[in-house]
Amino acid sequence: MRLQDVTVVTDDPAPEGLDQDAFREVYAAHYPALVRLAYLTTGSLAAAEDVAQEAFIEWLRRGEQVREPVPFLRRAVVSRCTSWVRRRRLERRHATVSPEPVARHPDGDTEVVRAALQKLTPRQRAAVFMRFYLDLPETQIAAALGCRPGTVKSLLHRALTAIKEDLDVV
Amino acid sequence: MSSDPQARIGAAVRSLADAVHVDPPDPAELMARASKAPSRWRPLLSAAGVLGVLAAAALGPGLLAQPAAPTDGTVLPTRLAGLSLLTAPVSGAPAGPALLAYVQGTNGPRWLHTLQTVVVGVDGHTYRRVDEAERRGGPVELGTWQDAPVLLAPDGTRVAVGSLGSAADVAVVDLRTGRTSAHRSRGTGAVRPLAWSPDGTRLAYTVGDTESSVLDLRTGLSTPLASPATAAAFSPDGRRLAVQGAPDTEVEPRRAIRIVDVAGGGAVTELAAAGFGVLIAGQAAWSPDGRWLAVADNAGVGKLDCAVSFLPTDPADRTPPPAPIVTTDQIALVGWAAPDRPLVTQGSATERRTLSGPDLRPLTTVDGSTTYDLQAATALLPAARVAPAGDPDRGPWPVWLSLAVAAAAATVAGLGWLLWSRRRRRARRS
Repeated sequence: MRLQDVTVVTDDPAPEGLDQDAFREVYAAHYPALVRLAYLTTGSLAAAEDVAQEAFIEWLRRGEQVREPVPFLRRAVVSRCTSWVRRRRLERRHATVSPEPVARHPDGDTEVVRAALQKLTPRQRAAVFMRFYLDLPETQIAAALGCRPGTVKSLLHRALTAIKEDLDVV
Repeated sequence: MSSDPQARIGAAVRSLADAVHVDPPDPAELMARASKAPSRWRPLLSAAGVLGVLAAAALGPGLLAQPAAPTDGTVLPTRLAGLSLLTAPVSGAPAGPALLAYVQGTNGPRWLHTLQTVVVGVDGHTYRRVDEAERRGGPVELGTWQDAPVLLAPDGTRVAVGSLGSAADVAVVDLRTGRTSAHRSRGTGAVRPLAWSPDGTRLAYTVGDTESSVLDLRTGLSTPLASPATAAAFSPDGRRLAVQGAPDTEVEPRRAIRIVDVAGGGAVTELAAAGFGVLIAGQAAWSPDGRWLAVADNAGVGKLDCAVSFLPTDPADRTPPPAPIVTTDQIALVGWAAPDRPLVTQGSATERRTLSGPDLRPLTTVDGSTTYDLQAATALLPAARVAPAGDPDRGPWPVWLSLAVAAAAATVAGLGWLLWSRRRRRARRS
């Protein structure tokens, strides 16, 4: 289905200037990573997919206002994830979000790290993911978290110290 | 397995993330969803909703509570409301005659009104702060303020207000108009009103514990009493006054009770000397039939029983007096529902206070906040009926709160307008 075929039930015109090919390209390249970022941060695959899709929809709505889509998408995902976790905590009145198990890992480290991540804050989880999965430098992690690089350093330091404690390597 | 912890963590994170199977939906679906823009009216509707709630909160109390619900006679509420910092002052929002007056709360800064002298209207649910008592109060400890002593008139239309600091006048607040009139006192010092005459024309008061007088409110003139009084009560006909002064001697601290003729000022009768710590039981001590004078003994509060007992006003009267009312908590006489039915209040300094008849079954209770010096408009008590009085009407909000609500409403309205205008501009541009 192409955009032109979709019945638009609104009097608000769609944003102009967003290259559909560019969108498809970024979508194909980054959607999985953003879902994984959201999954590690929220612990819920369903929420992760919703959050990632909402981020892309937001980009579509803003159109050419978004000059650097990938940092924008990461920031939108992290922001929505922290809101989701906060809401979820309020709803459930407990402090941690148990991830929905996706698959069992025989590797002991993986299980330990999964358990350790649950004890971290959503922003710490997002920072760890971006550091170790996306291999992003601190400046880009800071852009996604909406904070200064120094704050990222401290977030990562605390997160890694906590994980290392569980890994018994301190 | 690597021994580098960072590498182990990295591998574990990758393993966790890669285990997530991602099935991207067709991007066209997202494009279709994106084209369905959220309603442009949503922020405006939200702002209007918030404004509506704020307006209802701001106007609600005023609209719902004023004028006060029509009342059928005088109501003695079964439950007295707790302290509220939003209670309106008498001077700003007078609510008419009061049935009860009391002090409630704990010492705090004056501006916070954590200690209030409150009057309860004859409808049983209208509460106002006697702000004149705050003005004439004084600092008691660092940063705390205590109200001046007050005395509710028998018909509940006025409140006499003394002073904590040095003053040269007695204030009388008219609860119907909120106006205060000041009457020059004899002498200067801390002023304490002692007793209203039953017809409300005269007021016995003491200044600085060294001089006591009877003020005639019609002329504004004060007639001195022979000796300073710490407690006093007018007889039902208003012609005699039972007074009790300072201890006669330090060795034997008994305080003689004398009954004096108000017009002549001389001692008419001296009652049998009251025991240690026994005091005339407030301005309503004289029984309506004039036969008994109630005295309260709270000297042993906390360790011994407290009691209100009755002395014959005529020493020649050999009729056995009514049985004393004995309690474990501090007790005070509030008034008389009938000549044989005194009403007393009891409660510790900080705990539950009740108002009851001689059988001590509570008619009115106050829970949750410290309440003391409970008084009643004594002439209104015989006709009062005990009933639940519903939600308290505390009058209009204080100015600072109204301003804060108005500021919040203006901020929300401004934000709503900003959002709306920004969306409109964007729509026009595109």
